[in-house]
Amino acid sequence: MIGRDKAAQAPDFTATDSEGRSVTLSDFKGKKNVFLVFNRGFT
Amino acid sequence: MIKVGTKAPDFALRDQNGKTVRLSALAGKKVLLSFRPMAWTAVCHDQMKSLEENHAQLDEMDSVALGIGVDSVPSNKAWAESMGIRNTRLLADFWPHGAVAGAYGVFREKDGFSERANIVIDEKGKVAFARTYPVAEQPDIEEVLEALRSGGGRG
Repeated sequence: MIGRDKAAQAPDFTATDSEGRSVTLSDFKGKKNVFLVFNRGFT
Repeated sequence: MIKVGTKAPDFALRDQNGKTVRLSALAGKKVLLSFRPMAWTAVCHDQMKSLEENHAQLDEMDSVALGIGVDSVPSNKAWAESMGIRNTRLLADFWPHGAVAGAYGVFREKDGFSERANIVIDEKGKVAFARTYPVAEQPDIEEVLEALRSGGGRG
């Protein structure tokens, strides 16, 4: 898993949120810490 | 898209309750494969409801309608419950993603989901009817029921 052994650059990505809006990781750079939660829907 | 008269590729997928459905186990019955792009959207909702509403008629014709989409089993379960679907099995073509849609030539590589399509398979496992619809269009269920009745139709 990324970053488990040493600090690694987080791969940038763009994905669509539940309202259909585009979210790009690099937009948060220098502004906020980002916590990514990978989930399985409806479980 | 798969051609009328060809042998329908066999598959095994899980329904909304996690039970496996194998096409070849339904030999001797007519099978309607109703592919739809995405769960939780309006046209797909109406498409699945039309299968449920015609369940008794399909049963009388010794036919089984199966909804197929790329959504997961838990998503299909929640979706079926929200629509009040009890008699129609919704199959999860989730992993390998869209593999069954691909085998029937209705997977949209660019979008990651399937076409809206109805495919009728006869008692001997041959494709008797195959049609795709615009993603925003509700399929004509009467045309499909007629294909099931006559055992064939347009391709």
